[in-house]
Amino acid sequence: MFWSKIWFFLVAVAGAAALTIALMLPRPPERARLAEERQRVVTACDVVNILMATNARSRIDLAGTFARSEVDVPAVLAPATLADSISAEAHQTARSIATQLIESTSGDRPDFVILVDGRGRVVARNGIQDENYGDALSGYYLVDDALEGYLRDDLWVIDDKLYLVAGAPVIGNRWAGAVVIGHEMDKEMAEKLVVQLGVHMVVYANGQPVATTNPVEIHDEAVKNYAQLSGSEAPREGDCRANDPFEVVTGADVYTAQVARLPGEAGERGAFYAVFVDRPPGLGLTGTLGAVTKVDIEFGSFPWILLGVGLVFTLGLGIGLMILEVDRPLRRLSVDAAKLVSAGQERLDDGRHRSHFGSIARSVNNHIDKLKRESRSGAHESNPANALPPVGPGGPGAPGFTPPPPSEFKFTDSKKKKKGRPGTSPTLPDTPSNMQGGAPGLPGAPPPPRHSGVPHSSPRLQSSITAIDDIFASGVHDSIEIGPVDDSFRATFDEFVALKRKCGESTANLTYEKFSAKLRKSRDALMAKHDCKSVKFQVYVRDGKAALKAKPIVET
Amino acid sequence: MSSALGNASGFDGHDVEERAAQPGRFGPSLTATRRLRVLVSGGLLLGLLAAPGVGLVEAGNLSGSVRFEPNRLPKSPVRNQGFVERIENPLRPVKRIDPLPFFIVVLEGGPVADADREPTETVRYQLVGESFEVPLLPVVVGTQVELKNVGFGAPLLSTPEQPSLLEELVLDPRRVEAFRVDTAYQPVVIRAAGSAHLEGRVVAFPHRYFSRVDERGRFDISNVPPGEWRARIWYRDGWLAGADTTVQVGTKRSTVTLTASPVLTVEAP
Repeated sequence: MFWSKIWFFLVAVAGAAALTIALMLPRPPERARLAEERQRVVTACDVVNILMATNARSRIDLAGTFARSEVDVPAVLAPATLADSISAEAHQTARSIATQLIESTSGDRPDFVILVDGRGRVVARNGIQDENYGDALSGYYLVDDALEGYLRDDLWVIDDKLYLVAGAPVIGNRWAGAVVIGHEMDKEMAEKLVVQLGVHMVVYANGQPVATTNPVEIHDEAVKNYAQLSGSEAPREGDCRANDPFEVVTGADVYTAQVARLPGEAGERGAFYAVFVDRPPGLGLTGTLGAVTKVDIEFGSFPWILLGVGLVFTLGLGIGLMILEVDRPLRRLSVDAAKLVSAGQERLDDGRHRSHFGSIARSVNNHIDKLKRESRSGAHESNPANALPPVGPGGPGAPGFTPPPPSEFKFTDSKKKKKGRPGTSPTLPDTPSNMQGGAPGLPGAPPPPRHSGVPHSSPRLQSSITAIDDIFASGVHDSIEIGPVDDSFRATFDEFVALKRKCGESTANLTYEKFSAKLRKSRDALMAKHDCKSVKFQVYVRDGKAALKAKPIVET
Repeated sequence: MSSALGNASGFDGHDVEERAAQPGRFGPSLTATRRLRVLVSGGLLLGLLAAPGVGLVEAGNLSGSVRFEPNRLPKSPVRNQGFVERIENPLRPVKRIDPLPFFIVVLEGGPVADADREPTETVRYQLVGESFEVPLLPVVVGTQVELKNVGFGAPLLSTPEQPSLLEELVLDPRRVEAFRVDTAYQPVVIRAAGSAHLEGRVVAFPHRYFSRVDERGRFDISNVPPGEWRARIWYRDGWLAGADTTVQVGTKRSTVTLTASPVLTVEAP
């Protein structure tokens, strides 16, 4: 059994270790994946910025192309610059030119074109507030720069829409004015920016989303994180890497997001963009198992052979140990036990049995020896001359003490007792039926053992001995022989009957004669066994039923 | 009521009545109406002969110009940037910075007529789109300034440094709103919420002896009491350092040339 236990312990430890590893193993890759996810968001944020810068260069080029177009833009703007006001005719001409410029565009056409004269006044608009002209567009940094000869881009917020704009000077024989074009930052443009990146994007202006590729509400968190950036003096280009990405939880979904400022006038007024990705569900053990694919468990990619060998080895070793340490010794003990009956063997050969089975064999042998001694003791009782002196705790010869039998030793074989113990015949006159039946001096009671020369103390209950737990247990009733009836057990009988009724048991077949005969028999057996003066009967409930137990009372 | 200012941009805003007679030419004292009024006022002054503290004197005019020494202004600074840096066009050198719209020539230290310490009329300051008609409007202390929007937008205007003057005002097109400037040498900056570039300035002086300069740097101040004056240049929020000069104003026209450094350094008033 030792090695079986060791093996079981090792298997249990291995199982616990395997479970711990299974639970912990997904965590490092999950952390790694989370880090990758965050890096992906940061990279996407950077890439979006680069794409918008590239887009801005294209827009500047387009504005420059418009300014140097074959359509003679300076021919319209130069005279307008000299005039005190913009005439309707000049407006119509310029608007027609703006339309031609837009239509001549290959690729993404601008959403608007504005032609500005050399004094910063709008000569014509196309695509936005088309009917308005004559007002000053100078003041916009982009327009002022374009009128000074620069090509540049900017971001404007017009009517709660965000426009990516570019301006270029119109130069004829003299400074004639400027061309301003703009593309609205809408959902379509945002999707073009992030379509290759596999992320979502939201663009904010004046604290409100103006373009989004995913309607998920991340705005509160995005605005909150932008607030940390807005006062920063650090270059805008480093926004994506300046701060850690943040989590946004909307319902059951979790997103990883990053914000970055937008440049230009809109940026100065709080325009920014956010890039975010869905965070995949956490791995964990179940998540890992759920992510397993057929390829993962294919024969070539999974060590099925090694696993099978390990399993067979584990089972084989465990079963082998069980056979060696349990089955075979048990079978050997069983055979030996059978020989006790069939082959007339008097004792088990406890030398053949090891471990617990050796203990069992020795216990059986001890029991056999005890029975033999008791048989001899019974013979000696009938012949006091051969009686052995009692052995007490102080050693042989200690007077007045009989060591009690082991607690598990019970008188259950009343027939054998009756044969081997003629002096304890149940047909003898009964002892009083009070709680200390068999008191000395009562008629019919067997003579109590005498311990001459030793003063008797008051009798006490040997509470550590349960001589008969339930004298009415099955198998005991058959041996009852009804003898002379007296009323010594009447009180106990009444109490027992009352308890049986209380427990809802039938008392139809219970007669005082049988009851008293049984008690007498039990009392006699106990007195003979324990060499006690009397026996105490106690009524109690066992398993919901009335029961009666007898305890020997010995003198101390 | 007519605008008291020249119109640097020449914007008419479909409101011809509001347009200045000499766009971009001179400051508030140089409109035709203003000139007429000054002449009438000067005549009355000569007739009354009894202005306390001044006495019976004949006023003179001061004209002149501002020039830069060395005459090489820098390129305009980068005020903001989009995704990419601004690029100079390949066809023609870019223009240099033009600070003149922000220049106000002011006379100080001479005998000031009491009548010239009082504002004579309400001054209108027009919003012509994405900018004001002039970036810096000079007025006499106590002048009522009317803001009028002749553009198409409706900006939310305010004076953040002096919130009591203008507090979150939505100036719809054609709407007029007035405020009074009572403190000299303290510019009132008008800004628009939601617009980084829209900005106007009104600065008050204790008398009317000042003038804006035109695109060529010329200025003209009329009806200046004779005497020794100190000519200074106000630029944006303070005095332009190194541009002061002393001028003797007689009963006739006097001229002066103010020399400024291209490196514009402002001293607090």
